[in-house]
Parts: sequence; structure tokens; C-alpha cells
Amino acid sequence: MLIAVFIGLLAICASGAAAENVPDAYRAAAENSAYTLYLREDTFSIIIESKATGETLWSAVRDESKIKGSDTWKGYFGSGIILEYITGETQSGVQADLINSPHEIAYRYTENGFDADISFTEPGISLTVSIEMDDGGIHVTVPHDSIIETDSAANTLGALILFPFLGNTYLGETAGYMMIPDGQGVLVYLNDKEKRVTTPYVQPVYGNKSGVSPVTIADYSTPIENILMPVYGMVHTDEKIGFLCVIEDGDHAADILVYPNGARTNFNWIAARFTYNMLYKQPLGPSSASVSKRAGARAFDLKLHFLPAEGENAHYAGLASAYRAWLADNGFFKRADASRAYDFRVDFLGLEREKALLGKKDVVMTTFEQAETILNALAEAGVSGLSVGYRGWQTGGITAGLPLSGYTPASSLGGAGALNALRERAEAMGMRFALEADFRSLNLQESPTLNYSCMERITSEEVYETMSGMLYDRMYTLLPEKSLENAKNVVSAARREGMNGLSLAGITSFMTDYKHNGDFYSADTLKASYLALVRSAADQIGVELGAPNAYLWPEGAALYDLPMHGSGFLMEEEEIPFLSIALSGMIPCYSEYMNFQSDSDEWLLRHIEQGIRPSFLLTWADSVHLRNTNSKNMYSTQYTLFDELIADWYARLAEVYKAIEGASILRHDRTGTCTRVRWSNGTTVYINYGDADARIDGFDLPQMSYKVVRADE
Amino acid sequence: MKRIAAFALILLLTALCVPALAAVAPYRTYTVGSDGSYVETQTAYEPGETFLKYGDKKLKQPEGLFLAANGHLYIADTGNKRVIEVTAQGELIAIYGVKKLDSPTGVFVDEQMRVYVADRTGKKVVVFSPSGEIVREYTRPDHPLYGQNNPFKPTKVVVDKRGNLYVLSEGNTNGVIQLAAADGDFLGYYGPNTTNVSVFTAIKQLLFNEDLLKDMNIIPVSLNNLAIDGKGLVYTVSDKVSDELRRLNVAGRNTLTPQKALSANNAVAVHDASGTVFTVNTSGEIMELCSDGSMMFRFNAYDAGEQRGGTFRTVSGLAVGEDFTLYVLDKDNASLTALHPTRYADQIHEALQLFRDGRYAQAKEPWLEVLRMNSLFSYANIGIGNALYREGDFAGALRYYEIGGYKTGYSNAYWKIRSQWLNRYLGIFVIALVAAAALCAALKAIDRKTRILSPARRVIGRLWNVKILREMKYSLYLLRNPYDACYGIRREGKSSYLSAFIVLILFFACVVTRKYYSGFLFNNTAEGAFELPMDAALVFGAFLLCAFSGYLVGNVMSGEARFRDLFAGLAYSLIPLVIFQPIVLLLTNVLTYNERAFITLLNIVGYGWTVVLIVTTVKYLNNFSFRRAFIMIFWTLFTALIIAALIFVVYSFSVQLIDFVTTLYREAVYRFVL
Repeated sequence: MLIAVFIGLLAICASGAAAENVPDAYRAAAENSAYTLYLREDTFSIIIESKATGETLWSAVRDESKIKGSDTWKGYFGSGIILEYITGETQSGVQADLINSPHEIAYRYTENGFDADISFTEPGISLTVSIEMDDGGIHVTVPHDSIIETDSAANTLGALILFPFLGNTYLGETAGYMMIPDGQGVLVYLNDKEKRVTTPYVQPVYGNKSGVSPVTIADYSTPIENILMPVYGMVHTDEKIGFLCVIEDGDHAADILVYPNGARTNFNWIAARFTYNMLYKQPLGPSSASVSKRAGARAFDLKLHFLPAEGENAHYAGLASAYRAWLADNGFFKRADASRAYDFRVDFLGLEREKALLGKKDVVMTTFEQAETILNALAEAGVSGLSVGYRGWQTGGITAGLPLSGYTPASSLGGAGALNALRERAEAMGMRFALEADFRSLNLQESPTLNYSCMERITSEEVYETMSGMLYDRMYTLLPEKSLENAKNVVSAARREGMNGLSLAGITSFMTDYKHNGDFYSADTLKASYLALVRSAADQIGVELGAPNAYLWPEGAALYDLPMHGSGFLMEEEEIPFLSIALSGMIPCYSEYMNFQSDSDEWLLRHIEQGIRPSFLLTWADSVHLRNTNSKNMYSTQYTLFDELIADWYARLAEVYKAIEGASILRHDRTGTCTRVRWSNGTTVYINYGDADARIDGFDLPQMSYKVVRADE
Repeated sequence: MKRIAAFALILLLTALCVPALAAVAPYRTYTVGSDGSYVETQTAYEPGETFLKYGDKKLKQPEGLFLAANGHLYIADTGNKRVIEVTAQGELIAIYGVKKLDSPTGVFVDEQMRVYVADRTGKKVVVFSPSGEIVREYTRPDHPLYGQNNPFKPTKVVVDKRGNLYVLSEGNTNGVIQLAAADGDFLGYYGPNTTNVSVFTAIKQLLFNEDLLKDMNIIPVSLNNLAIDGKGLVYTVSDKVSDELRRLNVAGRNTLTPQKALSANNAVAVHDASGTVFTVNTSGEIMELCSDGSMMFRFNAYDAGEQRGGTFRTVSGLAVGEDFTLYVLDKDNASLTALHPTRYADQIHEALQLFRDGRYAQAKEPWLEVLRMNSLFSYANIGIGNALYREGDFAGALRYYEIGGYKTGYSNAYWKIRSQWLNRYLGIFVIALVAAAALCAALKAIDRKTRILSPARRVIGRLWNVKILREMKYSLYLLRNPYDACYGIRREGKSSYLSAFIVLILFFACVVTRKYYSGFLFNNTAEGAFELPMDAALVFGAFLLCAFSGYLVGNVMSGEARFRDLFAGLAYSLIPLVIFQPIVLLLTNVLTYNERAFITLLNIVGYGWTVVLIVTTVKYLNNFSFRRAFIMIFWTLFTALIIAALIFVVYSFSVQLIDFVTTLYREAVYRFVL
């Protein structure tokens, strides 16, 4: 075995020696059929070189003359590993790296990779980074049991960043972009920002951890989109080389860091930071007094998978396709309802509550019978393919009826009998029917005795979201074990009643560390609990996932409420449908509601571009009746306002989807106001978003229009 | 100033431009709902391109913006001491005032394309010809009415069609400085802001001598910016709450009452064709108002440090294009950003135009489309209501007016419906009344002969033997003869806590039903805003407080009333309201604004009678003169106020104490235990 490893290394060294773009300080450490991986041992920095073109991606700054700034940044510029540790003495974070900090490093080379035992002597923290390369890419692992803290009371591991500068560029010297998984996905060009962008993008994967650092979004701002996909990427377009990094494990503990030039340094770089331990400010009372405390630890194996791309694949569509292949290989579509024919998603809102002179009263928006009437009418109008969801179906309705602890269809909507009749009718018409189930939310104002089931922040207040509306001001969060218990009750009862589908919301887009009864529970626990809950439900009933974090995708038959945009940060210069490309042809995907869009024509074109299916929220009653409820932001829902539009869209989109059925997006390009989307079955879809007519590939496209060209045309 | 020599060379140099990200608005957009509160709506304006650099130079702390008739934007590039003319696409057309301007902060272009620049530290208004030469300079007027100590540091300038200048000057709070076109003569201060005179200030003004008044430094709030429309109406904005936005006519009088206004407005722009007004404050909050002052949209594009596209740090200028594209100048970010109207906003603008032209029927379809997108949009509901009203569909109009919160329209529509109803049913109604009267008369006649109603009379007679009912009946006696009634209460025990409490509950029921169930026209409570516990606390709390205070004060003043007497007397004094308020409640549901005098009259009678009863009750129960009764009532109210304040102070101290102890305990726990 050892001989084989030795021969392998010799071969690598022999091939690596010929590399012109790689300095002598680097040695070839691993290779696959397309790339060679070089390592500089003293700084643990790497270079990925394309065998075909000789183009390279560096994890350290290539031209050291450009290095300026503090020692902290010099660490980032050169070191392949950045470690932040928390000192017990001052309860503050300190950076350690291989440029500025005393350390010991030892390498053990394997057949196609190496293990690096890195020990930072000052804090007394050591760990092992394993790197393996195969034709699938470069696998980087930090096993949790390799992390050793000699005196954890004195110094403990705070956070870890590996190869933070991989692919880095200086100002606008290299053309290309960084891909951020913000909402659908956005690009940050590698141009000179001329100091325009000074704030980096630092967002946690799977959204803000409200049990740790609740972010109060001003009510005038639209919320920042959650990162659903634990990936990031970079492409150098002229050199036609790039990479996609998939965070395979530790995703729940990761933040995506994007620093374009101008944000602290003149370099463009993108990386993931993994937090093991964190500091927080413990308030001592309503005043501003606080003490700095250390939260409990997260325990996970850090796993990164770098997927290099070159040539035509060094393009965001290529990266998305690579991600799709990775998802498929790793069983992320195992429960996907791939056979689902083209359809729309229609959610009904059943019941809400508002204040009455004495107590509260129900606001009935859509009874089960009325929903049936609407479905019949839609079917008569030719809209036969529908995936039907029902929100606020339970006693109390959409906000007062939480937590959802049992199968209790509201009697004011018609009760269990009418609900069953609705489901049967929908299924008889070939539609899918699912009840929305939010197992996360807890309305303490309705169920004050459930206070003991409420998740607490690490600062010991409850975890809640602020609500706007006249009735309730907060929605609290159930403990995961309680969520699981409720889910079991609801799923088993729903199955007994003949229900075949559940639309899971709430838990699907939530991740945090939390406390209960003074004990700390890390995001590891929550991730495992939610996964178990969804898996258990999916074993019994068809599960659709609302705005889901990626780790739950394997359990979903379909995904709905997917974002169509990014958050619109100043650095984000182009929106791309990365998420849609990655999921295209693999799992049915539905967008956010059309109801609240300011331009329905543009919204339609976006669906055609992305191959994603539209969603509508419908009620029988006028949404004016919601104005005194907590759902007053649902200001346009009445069925009669949308029936003609749904029928029109359905007829138009059915034609498009017939041409792309079962196919995946291969390529996605923008030219002026036009977008060209090539699908794997040879179909090309052109969309003109402009206010003027346009011509592309010989086709004339009127303003705000599209054209589908099949392979045989 | 002529254009710089190398002017031709820099033409067509592209700007440093940040492309617009597709349709992502980082802000929520709000409009006004039926109850006048803000309701969320679809995005009205989407961030477009942002320009930071024109030619080879970045913008530097720009403070003035003007959109000229040729579609070019003129930017007072203050930090670079120049004014630049650019296209909306970012093309640099011309530079004015290089080495001639000191601190250009305001810019205006007239119909002859002359460029007026307010130069703050240059202390002048400079006029450039279209070719860039200086043709005129306006300096400090030497007119005695200008004021000896008033500086002339022009920050903003606009010009009317006659060529008269309207100038804002830093440090001059008298108003807009109006200068004559021909000779630059000072014409006077135009549309001055008024001073903030609070009640306390007014009292001080009465009491203070001249020296002290000087120290008070009562000066008007200065204006921040101004604009002028095609009709010559001048718009001003300021920090002052009551004068945040004004539209001044030729006489300098305000002709605009904004439905909603922002605080600390920093810029204003007018869409000439429609009279639509846009204001923005320094923190990037933008509001769109119709020409009648109704609010259409409001969104806060403040950059809280996240650096999201289409957000601003310090907005210094605003302009609006013919197509309603907004151009926002940001001083701190040194950028110009375009905000494009969405299709939703376009539809509203189209409907508004038809609405303004009085083409209500044609406006109906666009308004319906707007309602499809947001059924709570107040103005759209009013628009459709108007269209239906014109079509004679008063019931339909009534519904939309109610959702739109338009009470005048509702009143008119309701009047029409009621007239139609009366026309149809008045005859039947009169016949029914006559028949009922005849029936009563017949019944009485029969009773006189056969005593048919004797059993009922006996039952009623027995009912009055029940103590509590007898006491309740006695409370009515107070209305007829307060003196005797008080004697009965005081000396004969003809009242009880229970009967008084029942009257109080009836009064509370009147208050609640009047508050929540008055007709739409006379109801000032937001629909669905039920606050019964708070209402109960207020009514019962206030009553108890007054009764208790009255008892204390009465004792001190040697009054004879016991607490029980006072409690019952005050409660019984509310009987007029208990009688009148249900009638008022009924009338609010059937009357329109045309007959509102009836309701006012009934209220005056009800409340007036109650006050009279309270005074007489206090007098007779305590055996006071009227003078002493009034004194006692005054001190009672004062005592009640003091007790309420005391309760508040004790509560505040308790909260502070609990906070202190909690903090101390938690610090000890978190520092030394955990």
C-alpha cells in the first residue's frame, strides 16, 4: 500500500513539475483526470491547475507585492486555514493563522491526497484537515474528533475558515464573478468596484439563527433572502476556470462570506466560515447592561467538496448543473415526485381570527365547500393540473390555530367530512391535495399553558418572530421534540382520514441553536430533529416542503414557495436562476405567490425562464375581510380576481412546459434584455424582458415576450 | 462661465454605472387603507441604475438636482465645485462653473435653458447661458426689508415663468427670498414658515419681559428645499411638523393639506402634468401624494448599513421624469439613482389621470385592475365608488366608499339610497304608524270598558315592589327633581350600591355601543379595534377615582355626603346619557352628514343635563351652596389628577426597582455562577 502511495506521489510530482503557472514553493499533492492539486506546505495554501489549459485557481494571493494591510488580513492573504478561538480570560475572539501565529504542521500523504495535522501552539488547539481528490472533485474534511483543545477552559475553537482566498482576484484584473446562493442565486462581478461596496456579504446558511442573534428587520425593509443552498462559487470567465464549493457537512454552522474589492481589501474573495463556539452578550435586564458569555459548542464534521469547472462548464449554469449532479448522486431527489405532470399550485386560505367585542371571532375566508366550487370552476376553465394546498384549515385558523397538535378541521369551514369530500373531489379530478402544516409556530397568546414548550434564546428570552396585525404580536417557536410529537399526531390522524399530502412550512426554513430549561442545544440537534420529523412524515404521507433548506430536500416530493430573487445587495450585479437550474427536471418546484407581484407579465416570463411552476393564494371571500386580522398583508386573494388570469397562464405555460418536460437546463445566458435558456432535450427558450422589440439568434421577440424553439424546429 | 475647453472631448464619456438588478426592492411599499392607516402594497418603484461617476470624475457630496425640459439632469456636484449636465443614461453633456463656483448646492434650469446655480459659500446665485457663460449674478439684496442681519447664502433656487427668483438662504429663517427678474430687487419674503408656539410658549410670552423673551429665541423653522410647477405654484419642505410640505399660490398661501407627511423632508419634486408631489427626507423615506394631498405610496429606502441596492444614506435631491421615473441624489453615497415605476404604479397613475380629468367611468377599469392587485387600496375604492355613483349604483358606491374610508362620498350615496327607500316605503310607513296609533287607542278604549289590561298592571305594580327595581325607578326621579331625589338618597336610603352599579353598567354599555357600533359616518374607532378591557378600566376607573376624590374633598370641605351617597348620586347623574346615547346610536346609523346637527344637539342636551345633575347632586348631597359645589368639583378633579399621577409614579418606580434588582441578581448569577 505504502509503495503504491509512494509511486502515485512520484507520478504526481513528475507531472506537476512541468507546470509553468505554479511556483516552486508548491508541490503536486493530488490529481484527477482533469486537474492537479498543488500544495505549499508551510502555509497550507493550494493551487488547482487545469491539465487541459494550465489555468489555475490560487488559495493565496498570487502577487505578493499587492499585499497590504494589517496582520489579520495578511493571514487571510496567505494562510490556507484561518482559525478563530475564544479566550477564556477575556471572553473574546482571536485570530490564528499560518502566517502570523506560532504553529506546527505535519503532512501525511495518501494515495490521492493528504492529511495535515495542524497545531496552533498559542491557544493549544490542533486539528486534522484531510484532503482527497477524485474525478468528482476535491474533498476537504475536518473530522470533529480530530479537534483537540489542550485547555478548553482557557482557549476554545471559535470558527474555522478553509482556503478563504481560493480563486481570489485583485480589483478588476480578472474578469469573472462570484456566485452567492442568495435566494435564487446572484453574481458579484470581479470588476473594480471603485470603493463603492464597503460592506461584505456575511449571511448564515439556512437563515438567521434567531435563537442566537435575532435580527430585527425594520418593518420598512423587505427581509433578506435565506440561503437555502449551502454552496458558493467563483468563475474566471476569460481563463474559463472556476469552482463550485458544496458544504456537505457543517452546513448548519456555516456563514457565507463574500468580500468584493473595496470591502476591507482590494481583493475579491468568497468563502465559508464554520462556527463551533460563539460568544454572545447576555443582557442583565431591560437596560443595556450585559456580560460576554460563551454559548455551548456545536459538534460536526466539517466537509467541503470543491467541484472545479473549466471550459464551457466554467459558467454559472455549468456550476448549477454540477450541483444538480451532486444532488442527484447524493440522493437529494430520492422522494421527488418526478412523474408529476405540469401543474400550478393553488393554496386556499381557510380561516383567520379577528377581535370581537367580547373575545375573538372567526373570519371565514374559504370553506371546504367553497374551495370545491373554485376547483370545479377552474377545471371547467381548462385548468386541470393543480397541486392544491390548504392553509388555515384547522380549528382557530392560520394564526390562532397554532401550534398544530392534532387533526382538527375547523367546523366553521365545514368540518372533517367536508374536508374529506374536498380532497376526494380534487383527487378525482386528478389534482394533488395537501394540508399545510406548520409544526414550528406556537401562538402563546392563544395557548399560554404551552409556555414550557417554547424554545428559548441562548440569552434565555423566548425565540419568537414579531408579527404585524391587530390580534397577535408574536409567534413563538416550539421545541423540536414537541414539534415531532405534534407531527406524529397530525400525520397519523391525517392518514387515517385518507389524506395523502402535507405541505410542511415553518420548520423547513428555520435553523438555530437554542436553550431550554437552562440547557444549550446546538443547531446540530435542531437539524437532526427536523430531519427526523420530516423523514418520519415522509415515510407515511407525501410531503411537500415550503421554502426548504437544502438538507431537507431528500424527503420532499415537491418544493414550493421558492424564492425568485436575491436580496438586492448593492454588490449583487446580476440575478441568476441558480436554484431553478439546479433543480430543473429533478423535482417539481413552485414559486412564491403571484398575488403580491407588481408586474404579472414579468412574473410570467420569469416562470418561463426558470421552468418553475407558479403559485396562487386564493380565497372565496374578499381579502378586505382580512384587514383586521394578522393576515392583513394578504391584501389580494379573492378567487374572482384571479380566475381568468390563472386560466390564461395555464394555457400559455402548458405549451412551454410541454416542450421542456423532463428536461434540465443546460445553459442560461443573457444578451441585452433577452435571455436564452437551453434545455437538455434540445429546446431553447428565449425571453425578452425589454420594453422594446429585440432580435436574438435570428428570432424576433416583441417586447415582454417569449419564444420556444424545439430541437426539431 | 463658458464650458470648459475640453468640453467636446469629454462628451459621451460613460459614467460609472451600477446596473439595475432585476426588480428587487429592498423596501416595503405602503399605501393608505380605509381607516387612514398604512397598509402594505405591491412595489411601486423599483431600483434602477445608480451612477457614481460622470466623465472621469466621481460625484462628491452632491446637493442639488434638477430635471430640465430637455430630459437632461443637472447635478450640483457640490464637493467638486461644479454643476454637471447629464443624461438619464449616464452620459456627461456639459460642465458648468469650473473654478467659478464655490459651493453649488442648488440648481434650476428655465425654459430658455439658462442654468441658475445657488452658490452657498459664494453667497450668490449665478446664471449661466446654455453655452456655459455667466450671464448674471444675484447677490445679497440691500433692501431695508431684507433685514440688516439676515445673511444671503443661497442653498436652493427656482424661477417662475416671469423670471422671478425664489431663493432659500442658509441662516435666513424668514422664508423664501423673492427676487425680481429684471433688476434682482428684493420683492419680499414669500410664504414664510410660522413659529412653533406651544401652550407653554404662549404663557411665557404673556408673562416674560422683553429680555427674557429674547432669550427664548422663538424663530421659524427654516425651509430645506423648494420646487416649482408649470403653474407657478411653489412647493416648500421643512423639518417642521405642521409645514413639512406646502404648496404656495401667488399670494404665498398654502393650498395643500397632505393626508400624510414625512418628518424632516429634505427634497420635493413635482410631476408637472399631474400635479403629483414627491417628497423625500434625508434618510431616504419617499412619499407620493396626489395633487389633492392624498397619499398614494410611501417607502423607506434608508440604507441601515446593509448596502442594498436602491437605498440611500442622505438624500439631497429629488427629481421626477415625465414617465414618473424618480431620480434620487444621495449626498453621502455620492450617487444618483433612478427608481422606475412598476406596472402597478403605472396603472395607478393612469387611473389617477382619468380621475383627475373627471372621467370617472373610464377610470373604473384601471381602478378595478388596481383593486385586483390590492383590494385595500383606499384611493382605488374611492375611484370605483365615484364611477358607480355617477352610474347611479349608489349601493355599490356605498360599499366602495366604506372600504375606501371616504365618508363624504358615503354620506352622499347613503342619502340617495335613503331617499329612494323613503320614496318607496314612506306611504306604507305612515299607514303603519297611523294603524299602530289607532290600535293603541282602541286598546285603551276597550281597557276602559273591560279592564282587559288589569292583570298586566298588577304584574307591573308588583315589579315595582322589588327593591332594586324600585331604586332604579327612583334614579329617574333625579331627572325631574334633583333636590328631592338627593334628599331621598341622603336621608331615606332610596339608593344602593347595586342600583348605582347597574346604572354605571348601563352607562358603560352606552359608551361601548356608541364607540363600536355607531354608523360608519359617525364612528371614529378603527374597525375591529375592540379594546373592551381598556374601555372598562377607563370608565369604571375614572368613575371610582372621581367618586373617591369627591368623597375626600367633600369631607375636607365639611360636606355631609357619605361615599355611598356620592357614588349613587354621581351614577344616577349619568342617566341622561343612558337615555340619550341609544337614540344617538340609532340616529348615527340612519342619518347622513346633512342631518348631523340632530346628533350634535342630542349630545349637547345629554352631556349638558348630566353636568347639571352632577353639580346639583354634589350641592344637595353635601348641603353646599352652588359656589362651594363648583369649588368642590374643581378640587375633586384636581385630586383625581394627583392620585392618577401618584399611581403612575409609584408604578414607574416599581418597574425601575424591579429592573435594578433583576439586573443585580442576573449579573451576580452570570458572572459568578454560570
